[in-house]
Amino acid sequence: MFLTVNVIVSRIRTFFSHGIFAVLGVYAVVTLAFAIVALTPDPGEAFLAHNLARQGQADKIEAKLQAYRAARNLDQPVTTRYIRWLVDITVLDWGRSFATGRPVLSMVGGGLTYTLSYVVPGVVLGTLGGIWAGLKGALDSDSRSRRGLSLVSYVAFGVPSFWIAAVFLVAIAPTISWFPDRLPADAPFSLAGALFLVPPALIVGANVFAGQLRYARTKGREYALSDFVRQHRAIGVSRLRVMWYVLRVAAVPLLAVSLADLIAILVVNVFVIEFVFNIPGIGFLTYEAILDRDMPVVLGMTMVVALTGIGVNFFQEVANAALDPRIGDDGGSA
Amino acid sequence: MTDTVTEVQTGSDTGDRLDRKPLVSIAGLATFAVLVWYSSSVSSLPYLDGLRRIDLLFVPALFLFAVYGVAPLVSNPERAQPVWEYAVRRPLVLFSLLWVGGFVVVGLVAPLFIDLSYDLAATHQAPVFASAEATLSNDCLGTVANGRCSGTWEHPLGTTSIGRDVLTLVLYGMREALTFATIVAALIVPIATLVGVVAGYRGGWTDEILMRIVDVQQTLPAFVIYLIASFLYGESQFLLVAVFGLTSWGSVARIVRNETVHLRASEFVTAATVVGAGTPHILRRHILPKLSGAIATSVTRQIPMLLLVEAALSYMDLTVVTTGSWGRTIRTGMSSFPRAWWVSAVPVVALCVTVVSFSVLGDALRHVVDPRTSE
Repeated sequence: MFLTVNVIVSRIRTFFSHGIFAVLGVYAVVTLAFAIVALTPDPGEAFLAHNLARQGQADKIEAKLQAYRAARNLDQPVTTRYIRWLVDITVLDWGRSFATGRPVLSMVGGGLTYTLSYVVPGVVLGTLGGIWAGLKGALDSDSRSRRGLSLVSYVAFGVPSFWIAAVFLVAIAPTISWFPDRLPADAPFSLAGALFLVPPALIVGANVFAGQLRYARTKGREYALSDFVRQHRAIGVSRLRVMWYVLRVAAVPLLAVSLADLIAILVVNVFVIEFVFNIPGIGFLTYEAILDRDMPVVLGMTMVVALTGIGVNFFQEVANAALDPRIGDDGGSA
Repeated sequence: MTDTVTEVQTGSDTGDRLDRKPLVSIAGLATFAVLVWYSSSVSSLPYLDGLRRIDLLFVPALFLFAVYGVAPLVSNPERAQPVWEYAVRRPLVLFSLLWVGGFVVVGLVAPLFIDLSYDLAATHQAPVFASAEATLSNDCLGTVANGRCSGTWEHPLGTTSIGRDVLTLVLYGMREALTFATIVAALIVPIATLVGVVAGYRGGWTDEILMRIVDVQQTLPAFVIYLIASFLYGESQFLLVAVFGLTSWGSVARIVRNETVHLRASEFVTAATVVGAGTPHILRRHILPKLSGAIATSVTRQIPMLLLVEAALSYMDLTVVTTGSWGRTIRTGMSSFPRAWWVSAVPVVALCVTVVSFSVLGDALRHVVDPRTSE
């Protein structure tokens, strides 16, 4: 590969054009979040009015509501609030939780620490394992083992992870003496805390594995019958080496096709796993905030999910351009 | 190769039949609307007064599915021939095909016959051929031996803590799952087709912008949007299907778009353009009919995720309480888990087999529609 000035300039242009789209995407989500707050009736107002009416102070409702709106800047025009919202989000002032009074951003940070500490190992394990098993299965000449492998991947995807998690906690964990009953307070930075996060990581890993395996197998089959693979095998190149060549060629489609589904799989898994295991990560905090009707926290957590998605998307585009020189600044729409 | 296969599938589609479908669907939907209105405000009609509220969407969705999905296959059985030939040689695919067929039939029919009553004199009965601790239930319908109560044929899959028959519950769950999947699919297909065809046919900036919108939208899964929407508007079944239908079309639209780009560049479209065919004619005669395989495939591949997410939501108690939903039954079953394992295990198996069947069927459809990946 010759990195001429032209190529470098085109790479930088690709990077920036994707970057601009990513930033636009971020502000689209932020705007959407604002619209949700601004354009829908505030449940807090109805709650306030209801409470006052029940206490027989119906005459004070209007005054209280005005004080409530003033405290939340709701008495200003929508455009002023929108600009203020954009600025606040950009300078990382995400407001405070109605329920606990803590800054939303620090709650998000705390939640992310827990969530990422089991999601990242799970995703890495599942992705690598899935791609390896999928390509190996695709290049396998024994059709029976190939079908066995695909059945495993189907079933691993089909068993609901919340059930696996619940069965583990109810029936298996109590029989293991050294497994902690609940998440230790100092998790994930202690041995017991890390240990508690192993089953969640494995469940996430199994789900990612199942999804990735299916894609890798399908993609691998496409290449297994291609001329370059048959020629390499004919001259006696080892299967591992052929797998590597296929991986190198199939990397872009593997990355491209799986990310949207990966996000969908991960989000559901994070919510149900944290719900079952009582891990105070992003999913659990959002769930609690919904029960508490704590709007700033719900919005903050949702924006984190969306921003992660946009970031991953951006990373994918840049990685595509790096892995496949044919994808230039035309966006690779061919 | 791709073209010849799709040609076989769509070649015998005459123009007449294509034009009649929208008319039939509009007439059918209007009739249903009139009947519902008549039943609710004039005098109640048989069958119609027993409808759930969600059936106001379910029945039209089923009707559209019948007009656009089943009718062309019935009138033209050779279109299903490649799928059948592919399935017959593969036991797993054949099983999936039969299971999905059974799922649809049972989901439609069973709840009309079986009532969802409970029987406090038959709580926590074990499935037939299994047994449970005799202390688990006050009454044992089977025989007690060694302190264990064995199951009976009266409740082949056992009963719950209030004596509901688990088999009946699971069949009810099929209806809940079928309702959800059908309505969501009926929303996904038109939106995804419209967006995908416009993006793929217009190309250029339209394409770029529409696909970027899909990108951003896919970063916010329907699951999260439903959480926020239920926070704002309160939980309801309408909200559930609306959110999932209106936000899960991204990947289907992308596939439709890619297919449209291919078709647009193909020789028969160029030929049609050369002889002076306009855009509406090309879209209706040459592009839309050939997209049916890709759409059916991608929607089928979407359903497993939808079913799992719906079950997860009802497990977390974030949907309206609908007795019989698999997630709900699993949740109640887990409260007495190892001792009364069947209450949660049976719906888990039903959910798992359904999800696996749709995945297998989706992959099989893809092999048939897009033979590049076939073995």
